[in-house]
Amino acid sequence: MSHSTSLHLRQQQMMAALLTGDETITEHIAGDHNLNAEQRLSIYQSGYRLRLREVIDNDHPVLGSYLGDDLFEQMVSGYIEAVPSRYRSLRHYCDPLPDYLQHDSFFSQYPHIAELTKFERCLLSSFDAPDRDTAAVGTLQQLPAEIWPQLQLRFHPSLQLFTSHYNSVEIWQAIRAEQRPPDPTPQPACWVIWRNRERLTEFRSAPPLEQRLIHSFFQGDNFTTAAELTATEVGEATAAAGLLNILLRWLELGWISQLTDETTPPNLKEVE
Amino acid sequence: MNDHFLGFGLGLRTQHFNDVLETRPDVDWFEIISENFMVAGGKPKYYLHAIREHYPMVMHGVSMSLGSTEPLDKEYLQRLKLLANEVQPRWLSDHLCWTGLEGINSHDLLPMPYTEEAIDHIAGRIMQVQETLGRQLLLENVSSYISYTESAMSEWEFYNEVVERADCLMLLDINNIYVSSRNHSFDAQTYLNSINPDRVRQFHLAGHSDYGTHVIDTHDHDICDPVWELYRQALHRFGAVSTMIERDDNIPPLNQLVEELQIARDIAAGILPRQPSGKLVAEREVR
Repeated sequence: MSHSTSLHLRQQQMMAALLTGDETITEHIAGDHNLNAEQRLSIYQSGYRLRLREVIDNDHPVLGSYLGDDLFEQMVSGYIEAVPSRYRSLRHYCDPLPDYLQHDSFFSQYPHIAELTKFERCLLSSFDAPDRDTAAVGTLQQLPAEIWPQLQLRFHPSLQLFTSHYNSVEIWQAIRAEQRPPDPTPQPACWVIWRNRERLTEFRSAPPLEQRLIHSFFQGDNFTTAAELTATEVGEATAAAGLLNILLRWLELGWISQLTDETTPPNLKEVE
Repeated sequence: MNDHFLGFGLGLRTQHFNDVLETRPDVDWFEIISENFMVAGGKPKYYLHAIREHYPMVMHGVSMSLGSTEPLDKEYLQRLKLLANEVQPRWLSDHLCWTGLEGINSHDLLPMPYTEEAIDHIAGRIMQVQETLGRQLLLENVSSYISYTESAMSEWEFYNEVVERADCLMLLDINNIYVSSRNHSFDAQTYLNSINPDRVRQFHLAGHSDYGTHVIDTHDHDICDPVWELYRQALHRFGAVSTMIERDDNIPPLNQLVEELQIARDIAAGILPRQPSGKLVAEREVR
């Protein structure tokens, strides 16, 4: 269809009315004794903002509580103004919110807010990540010992590593528990987020060795490399037992979908 | 016998997932919002499949943007087709509207001007969609708050013409007819009487918010008496048409919606003839 048609022009005018408040379109709207053209248009304009506001509110309840009413309103207005939806589903409308907060002249002064928002989005992303069976705890022992050195892991698609530079997750936890949040402070940490077998999203902090092992397996390394890595942390004598314990815990938690000696591309999902 | 008559259904909402599975309510079918299940996995998909095992479903979309002058979103249509392959719905519907332009989505059901140009445009796109999806689409009338000065015909003339040219079917939203009749001061009965009965496959019922000077389609209230009255008139005209209640906000417990659905059943039972088996006869009483 040619973009010079009156239909296209009318649609451009309507979008301008929603996005920028330009009311040129009112010349083409019929008013009556009940409502004039401006009042009719305003139903769509306020509906647009209300709908997007509701999505931000629903997707980011902890962020909303943390900011309080005034700052939340400031963020919502600024975000709706700056970031129109480019998604078919409202589920994704707030995907660029952490980035917005990171670069907004006001909110960028408080980088832990963008981080806390990113954390909330990671939780949502794990919530509806693809389904995949998880390997049973006994899987490892059932595999012949001779293939163990070549074994690789395939993590569940919901599993993500979230690296934080502030105590944003502790702030999130406090707000969630309706407690006073700690003051923001630089505090590097790494978290594993995943969806458990009951389809609930969980997270927990990952100690340094676990982080390194996850990275290593994500990169496609096998058990031999993982054992060497473990040995550098805990020493040769306890490396094998230490690695086995970690792997059994991961299996129990439902982090592993497959143990394989085939070299297929790993499924890294890392958020920083 | 009309094999399109599914009976009386509800919109499947997250808040009711568990209750539907645990209590298996007396609901003949569910309508899902397609976009809500266009996700890779997790809880929504789990419940969708589990509930689908027990109930027929239809799929209802809100962002096909059939009337938009931007190109059809082929990726969206492919994802919709994949979901339809999973769900195996009895049918698939979207709206007589546009939702966005130049890659930006308003997430609203924006009305079309009722012009020849708009008919040509939207009918052509519906045909493309039907070809892509390999099935006939149901097209729903929307609630509207504006009408364009260049409109050259009534909404029902526009709706009928689009559906004829595109050879698609109709999802007649009874509440939307009521809402728009109040907002644009037209006679809702005239609207109903003008709709081609051969095309109607589904009814929507819903509540709205009445502000006196205008009415907004909020889906957050019970269905009001004038809409029930319009439903009676629709049954007289169209006969047994699959009917469902949409509730999207201020969502009550499932049993309350099942009770409201019973009102629709009782109204239909008083109007539609029955087979000896006691089932509603699906032929239309009045053409």
